[in-house]
Amino acid sequence: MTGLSTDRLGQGAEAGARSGAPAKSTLSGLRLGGQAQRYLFRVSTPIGDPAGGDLLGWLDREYDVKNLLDPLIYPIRFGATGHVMLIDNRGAIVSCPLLATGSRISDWRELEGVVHGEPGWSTAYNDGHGGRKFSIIGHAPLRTVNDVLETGVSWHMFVWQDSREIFAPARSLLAGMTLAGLFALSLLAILGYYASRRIVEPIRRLGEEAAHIAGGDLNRPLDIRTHDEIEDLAEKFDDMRVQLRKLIGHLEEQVEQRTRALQDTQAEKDRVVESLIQAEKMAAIGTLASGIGHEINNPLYAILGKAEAIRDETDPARRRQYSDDIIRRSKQIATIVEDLSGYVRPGSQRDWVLVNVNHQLSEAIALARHSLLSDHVEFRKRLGAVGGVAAKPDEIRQAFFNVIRNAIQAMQGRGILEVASDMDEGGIRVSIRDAGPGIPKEQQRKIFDPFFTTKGPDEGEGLGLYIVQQIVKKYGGSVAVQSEEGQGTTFTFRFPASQPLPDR
Amino acid sequence: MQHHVLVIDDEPEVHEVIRLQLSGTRYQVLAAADGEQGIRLLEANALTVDVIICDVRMPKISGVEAVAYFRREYPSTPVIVLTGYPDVNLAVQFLKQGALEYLIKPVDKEKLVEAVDQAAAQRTLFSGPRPNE
Repeated sequence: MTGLSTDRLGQGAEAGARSGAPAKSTLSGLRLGGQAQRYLFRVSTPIGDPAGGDLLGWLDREYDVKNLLDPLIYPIRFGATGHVMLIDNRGAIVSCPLLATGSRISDWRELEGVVHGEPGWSTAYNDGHGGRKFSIIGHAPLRTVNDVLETGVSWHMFVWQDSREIFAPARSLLAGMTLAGLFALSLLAILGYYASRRIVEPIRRLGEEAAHIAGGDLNRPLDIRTHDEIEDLAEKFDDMRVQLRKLIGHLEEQVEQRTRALQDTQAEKDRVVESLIQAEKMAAIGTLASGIGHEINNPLYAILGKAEAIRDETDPARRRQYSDDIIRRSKQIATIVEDLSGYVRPGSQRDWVLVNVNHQLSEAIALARHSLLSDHVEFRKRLGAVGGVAAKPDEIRQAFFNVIRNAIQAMQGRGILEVASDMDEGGIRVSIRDAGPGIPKEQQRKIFDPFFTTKGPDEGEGLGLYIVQQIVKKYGGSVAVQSEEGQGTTFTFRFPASQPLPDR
Repeated sequence: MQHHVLVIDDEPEVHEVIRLQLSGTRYQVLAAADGEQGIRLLEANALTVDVIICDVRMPKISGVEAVAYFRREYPSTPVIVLTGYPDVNLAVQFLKQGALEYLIKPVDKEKLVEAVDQAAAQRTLFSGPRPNE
């Protein structure tokens, strides 16, 4: 191409010949031609007579530009796939080591962007060689050539390398990292499995065994073989279990012994209380006998006196009057005997029955009337409809009687004694209120203690209220005292209502 | 000359029976329902009361207190305790206080008259025969 002047380009040899101007060698412009659609150019040289100057003819030859360009284009290689190609602005290959010259780039429209006037880089999912891979394409227009090309045609350099090759280092790095990551993950998994097998599992079993021990099962031996600290721990744990079993076995034995001892003690206490109640009852009978003496001897004296009078009396009217008195007094004695018969009813004290609380309260009052120094006590009864208490009737009456007797003694035999019964959600309530001097605060705590007494040495053993409390407790009830000095004293009994009878 | 027996008992029927049992004797009954009334009657009739018959259980002043008072204030007037209580301890208590007799009801006429006579005789022994006898 050396010696080719640009002003001649674009003019055909034929045009030069026709012009009639002195013949010169001409280069005709690049054009697309031939069956294979190649870029061709023509060189025309006049052949003249070397001696004269007559034009003998023209030497005219058409050259394929590819032959000139390929040696320039083909050697530019980089990597395994990197190469340069020359294309025109219509997508036709001018020169490419891979594609045939004149063939069209597939899907040219996607690549049109690379054939504009400025060099640069662009990307497309088209490698220009029929593949749809992501491609980074470098491009530059061949400006010098384009100046001599037909109008509307331009050539462009096109640099391409397989994206797989471009990204191979990154891919291999990624692959390496992925592999390393997978390896690390696998290692972690293996370590985790190992940890679970060696550490977590034995600890979980240890936990399970601890739960069994906590649940009271001390007979499961703990067998964990891990040949490490956990096994040591398990052994200590098992030692502890064995110690615990021994200790608990011993403890159970002790508890059993103590329970038996306690039961014996309780039984002994019950026997003592039982005999105390009995003794107290006999003492009450003694007092009663004395009281009965008075109750019966007074009417008896009247009967005797009147009978003597009848014997000596002659006036029929008087004799009749004395007889009537005798009859009246005899009936009075019969009533007293009837009143008291319940108190000494044989065999009754052994039986638990559903006790009518009001009835026992009335009997206790009758007994108090007949027993001791109670001629000048006014009894005020306010008995409500109350249920029964499962108990021995004698004992319930004795409890009431003991409190009433104390009340009468506190009032020194005269005053008002209020007795009331009612029911509320707490069961049966019985209250006995005296108008005595009251109990000093410091004594109130002690009044239910055995042998606590404020009376003289011959007047009582201090067991009355203790027995009251024992009886009431026995039947699931309670007794409380409320007292104010100078304001009298109230004893309040509570019993669970309508308790079912015990099986004895 | 009157011979009185002071009967202190809260039961009117006891007064009546004693009156009946002492009818036909020289004794007349002065009846008191309690210790206070008894003391008043005794003060008013100190010269004519030969014997005091006193119950144990009385309103206001107890039998023991009453007996102690009579023995202190009127040591020459004998006291018979007449009670329904067959109680030895009580009897001892009264006798210690100076009661002459502890009678348990019922007492028949014969025994009562005898006891009153004996007591009255004792009073005579202590105080000497009365001027007009």
